[in-house]
Amino acid sequence: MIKPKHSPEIKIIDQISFSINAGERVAIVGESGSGKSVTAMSIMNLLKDAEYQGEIRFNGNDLLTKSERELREIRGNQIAMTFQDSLSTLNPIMKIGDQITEVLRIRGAKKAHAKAKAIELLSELGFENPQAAFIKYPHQFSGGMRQRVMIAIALVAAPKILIADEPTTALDVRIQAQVISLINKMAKRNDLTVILISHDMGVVAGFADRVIVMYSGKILEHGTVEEIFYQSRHPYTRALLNSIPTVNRDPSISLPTIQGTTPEPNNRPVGCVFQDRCSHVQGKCRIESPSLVATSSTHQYACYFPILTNMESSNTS
Amino acid sequence: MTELFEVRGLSKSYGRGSSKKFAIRDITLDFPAHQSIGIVGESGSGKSTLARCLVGLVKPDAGEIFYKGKNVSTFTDQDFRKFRQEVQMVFQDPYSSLNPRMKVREIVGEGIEVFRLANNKEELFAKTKLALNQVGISDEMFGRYPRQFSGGQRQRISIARSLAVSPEVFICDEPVSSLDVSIQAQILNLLKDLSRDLSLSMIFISHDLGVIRYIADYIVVMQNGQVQEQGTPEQIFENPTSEYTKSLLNAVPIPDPRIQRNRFA
Repeated sequence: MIKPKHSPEIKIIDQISFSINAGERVAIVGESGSGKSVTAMSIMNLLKDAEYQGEIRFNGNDLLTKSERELREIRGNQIAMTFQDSLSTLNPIMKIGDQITEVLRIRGAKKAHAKAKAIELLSELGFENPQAAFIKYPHQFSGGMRQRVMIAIALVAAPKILIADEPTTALDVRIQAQVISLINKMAKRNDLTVILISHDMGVVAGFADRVIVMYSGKILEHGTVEEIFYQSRHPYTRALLNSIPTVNRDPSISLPTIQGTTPEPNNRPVGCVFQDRCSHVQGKCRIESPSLVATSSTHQYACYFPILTNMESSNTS
Repeated sequence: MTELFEVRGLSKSYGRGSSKKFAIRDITLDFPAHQSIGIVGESGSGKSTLARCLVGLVKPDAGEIFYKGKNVSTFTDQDFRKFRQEVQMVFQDPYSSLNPRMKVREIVGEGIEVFRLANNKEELFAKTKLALNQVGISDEMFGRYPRQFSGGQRQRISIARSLAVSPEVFICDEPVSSLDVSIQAQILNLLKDLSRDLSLSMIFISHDLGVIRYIADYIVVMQNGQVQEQGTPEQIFENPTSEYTKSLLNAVPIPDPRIQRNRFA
């Protein structure tokens, strides 16, 4: 749980619990205001003004109780992050080579060694002339190449976990595909655990092992990629998937919509956060917030009136 | 039958000398009336520049645009007045395209007053109300300011602003790309229903092939300021001929793990 300091108590995320095993690829999906980025930033303990209740355990230690010095050892070395907006995240007046090697240099690596490492990484990431790229500035690259620079910065110290916050969002589709297959390649090669934050269900479908669906600060459903895409139980997950105009769907069939808008964090209804937009809503949803129920060892959803599975619906008919 | 828009050899460049870059280059296209034409392309393809040339927001360097058979460059003031009423634009960013200091009622009523479509206050309000109700904004919200609305509602307001002046053509430049998926579907359905019910012509610009497939009767694919391919949705999606179109279709992520995993294996 988290809320900004010096302002009225607003719970941005509420009772978020999940665990990630080494080597897994977990996607956190949600629309704007769902709390997916706040969750990611919290794992890195990057939100200085936030107050937390709960724990974020990494290898058994609570990251929320670590000192800034201890965190510096973990960030970059163990857990690294890339951000959505490469233009505002990268330092505009620092050569990208210096930005990539910075984390190694701080830890005392020799200049030549750090540079060799960076050049190797740049070439793996598809820079045709890594030597020349090393001494260029961020503005001299396109959005897709800048996203790759951020991936290089994140991976240079060989972390175990990569958190990629909307890595493809501002990019053209062909560049998107390239960046995703690069993250894929690097993850395989380096045995990375990846947490992908995305609103794009198409990108998630091809990349993730497990999916966490967030809405208005809560986890509404959590399961394997198959469970979420083919057997979703939460009405929100199903409605979200149905409302995407994909290229392989029949355009003459009207696109199902989700009525209304996401509630503001300071104005969430009592009970289920999705009640006002839900086609399954009943009285109980307006009284008490449903907690996550497990249907399998991997699949959980928070709903009193979930979508029936194929088996359940054939039994009742 | 005359086309709605005929574009002949249209070019627009920015910069000069060695840094001169063409945003669009020698484009020739016909836009039939009462259809939804989708223009799709990546950033830098020139799709927005083309739209802006069509509405007259950008002056082309070369080439001609005919609207209902008449060359736009020979328009009289009166022609322009009529053109500006008939051809309406919906912009991408519903935050910067609405005046923050005007109430919703004033934003939508402004065009009605400018084009003198109402004889008195009652008629002005009736027309404003009709347009806002058509996009799903209810009466008690008329006195609010844009900041009091969500992104999706703001896009509805900007559609109402265009609707209010009884237009014939909607030019939509990425109208849903800043919206969440669940809101995007609402706006797409609204535009689709309006164009059908009011038999509007629509020119719909988007980078999203799924959105284009859902909305367009005819599709133009642009790259580097030029038209790469054009055709019906079936032609473009089932039998694309240009390598560029094929590469776009191959890259579009499909929200189905079994399909998507194989494509990016």
